[in-house]
Amino acid sequence: MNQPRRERKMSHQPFESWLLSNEPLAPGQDQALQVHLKSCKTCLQLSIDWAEVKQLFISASPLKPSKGFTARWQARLALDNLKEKRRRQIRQSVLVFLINAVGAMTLFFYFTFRLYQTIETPVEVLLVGIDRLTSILHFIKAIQEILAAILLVLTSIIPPEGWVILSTAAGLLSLVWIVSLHRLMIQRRITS
Amino acid sequence: MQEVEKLWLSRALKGDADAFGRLVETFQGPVHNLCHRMLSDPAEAEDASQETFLRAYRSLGRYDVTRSFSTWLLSIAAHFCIDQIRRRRMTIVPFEDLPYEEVRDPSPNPEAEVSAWEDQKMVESLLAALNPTDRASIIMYYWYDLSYEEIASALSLTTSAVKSRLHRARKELASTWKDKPRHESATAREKNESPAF
Repeated sequence: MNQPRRERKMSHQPFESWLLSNEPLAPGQDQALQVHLKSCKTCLQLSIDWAEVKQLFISASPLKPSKGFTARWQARLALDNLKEKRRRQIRQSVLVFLINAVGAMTLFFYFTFRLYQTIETPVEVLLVGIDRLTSILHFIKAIQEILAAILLVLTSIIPPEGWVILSTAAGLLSLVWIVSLHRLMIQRRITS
Repeated sequence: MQEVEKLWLSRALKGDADAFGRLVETFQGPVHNLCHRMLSDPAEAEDASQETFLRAYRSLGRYDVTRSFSTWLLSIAAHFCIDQIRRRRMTIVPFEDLPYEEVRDPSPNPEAEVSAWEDQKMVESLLAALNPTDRASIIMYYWYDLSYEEIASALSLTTSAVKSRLHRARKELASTWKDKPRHESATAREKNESPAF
């Protein structure tokens, strides 16, 4: 009755650590452990149990996967790639949708704001419009006048023979252009 | 790592999927063994092994060529299995209720086969008593002969933490072994003696 109580009070350190350590013990430590094991049933039991577990682990053969593991992995990779592609497509579609939605919303608010301004001050908007139209018409008229002036100058500078030469050159260039176009079309027909 | 495996690895690193397939062929055994020992279920182990190789393939760009490829793979597998076990804890299932598929030895000796099967089951039940990280440390130490430093690197721990975990796990395993009812019959049995008698 007294012996187990005494054993319970006994310190198991450092013997427990030595038993459970995989490191080789120094000769002195090994001797001390052997002496301790003779008097301590707990450590002796631990030593036996751990030795048996270790033996079981060492003797347990490695577990192998069933045949065709690599083929199954390759099939899974292909499936995963497909899923990833679909996920990417969905992500892209969502992104495009969001960009379009943001753009549409911006335009909507912009035009709503402009429309609101138009409704608020329709006379001013009408006046600005008329003013811009007048400016454009003035610009077109100015261009027309400039072109007429250049043509007048050119007719006074270039003699009638020059006009004939220019017209002939323009005609020849047009002919060359038509012929080359025709040849290109024939070539495409052959190759296709 | 053999020269030919190094060649496949270098090809795989350049994006050759077939070369990675060769690596899968080579390392499927160690990865599956780790997953099976960790998860104690063949179907889950198959899924975890496949996922490990998939993750490895996807993160090949981050693989440090100075590290051992097999240790890197085992690290991915261990982390995945630890996550799976933690997730599984949400639904507590007694170990005895877990599905178990017998891994049969092709040898014609039925006694040896039964004994091996019992040993495997006992190993599983012992490992199941450990917390996931301790379990991974023990498996890497006893089945893969990895050093403390390699285990520490694979499990993102310090070397002293690995030593401390291994010590705790060994104590736990010895304690579980002592309490197992099967223990007496298995240890008392003589070598080559049928468990039926």
